[in-house]
Amino acid sequence: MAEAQTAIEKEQGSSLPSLIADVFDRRVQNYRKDRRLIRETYEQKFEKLLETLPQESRDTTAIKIQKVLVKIGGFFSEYGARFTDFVRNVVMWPMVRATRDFPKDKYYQIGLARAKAWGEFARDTTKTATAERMAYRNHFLPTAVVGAEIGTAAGALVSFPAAVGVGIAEGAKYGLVAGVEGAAIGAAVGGAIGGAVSLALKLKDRIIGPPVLYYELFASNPASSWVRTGSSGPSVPGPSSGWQSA
Amino acid sequence: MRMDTFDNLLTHIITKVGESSLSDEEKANVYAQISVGLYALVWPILMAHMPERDLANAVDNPKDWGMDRYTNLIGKALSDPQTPKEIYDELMGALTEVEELVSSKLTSLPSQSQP
Repeated sequence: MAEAQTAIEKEQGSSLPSLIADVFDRRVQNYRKDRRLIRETYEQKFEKLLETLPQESRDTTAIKIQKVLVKIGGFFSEYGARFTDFVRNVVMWPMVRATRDFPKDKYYQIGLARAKAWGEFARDTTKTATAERMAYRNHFLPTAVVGAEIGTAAGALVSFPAAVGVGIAEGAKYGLVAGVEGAAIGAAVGGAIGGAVSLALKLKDRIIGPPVLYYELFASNPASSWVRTGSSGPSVPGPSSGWQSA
Repeated sequence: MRMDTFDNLLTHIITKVGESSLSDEEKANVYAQISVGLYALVWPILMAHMPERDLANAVDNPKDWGMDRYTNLIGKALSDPQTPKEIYDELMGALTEVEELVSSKLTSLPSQSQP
């Protein structure tokens, strides 16, 4: 019975990626129609501009990025910290890419791959699996594999939302390096839950970008390492306190 | 209350996909599509709220293009009170649809082993 159900799920689930692409593509198209395409004539040119923002040094961009992020924090405060950080990541990306000495870490690589895949997504309505999309998908593959291991160990006893809630309540702190995340949170709430929390956070960081505190943009010492220093998600404080990085 | 609804919905989707019997490649593909889709949905909304003259100036004069003009355009787009609401509503609408899709397609018990 369970095997048959799994077989059905595998068959139905294989169509999920293209169906999900349809959801977003339809919404983008509908939004354009609702707006009577008033900006469509500029869209591709503007995308090109985003890709070719002139390079500046980190010292210069840090101040400019900070101003934009504070502004976004003010406009989006009622929608939650994670959503606010997502919008920050979207807007920040062209500036990050144009920062000459921005560390080319894993989140930079993910952002770059996402930008390429997005360019294809915006123009390609055939949903064919392009090289860019496949490359971007591969950025998720190691995490998905880790997830399978955690899922086997932890079973289905713990729901992720509950685990995240517990993790936050415990004031979970986590670092950047895989393994440290699970270990730090696990110490507070138990290994299995910690692993689940860690996995969910890692995936969300890949999907919508890490909390902006990760970039430690506002450190007084520009030479300091750009690593995640705060807690994530809803526990991230508002803009006023977020910018005083250690 | 809207606070953290986005985060919870995304977490729920990740959980559902993670517990499914989909292969690792398929799971990774689902996450990638969600990620690309969310990012792709924000830009048309931001552009729609940029003053058309400023936008036209930017694309017609690429030599003057730089970070200051970029931040200025973003600031103007966001200063319209409708912009954050539209971005939130569109993204939540999309994620809700994705959640419904995921729930309807992935119905089996959590997987016990993976290939």
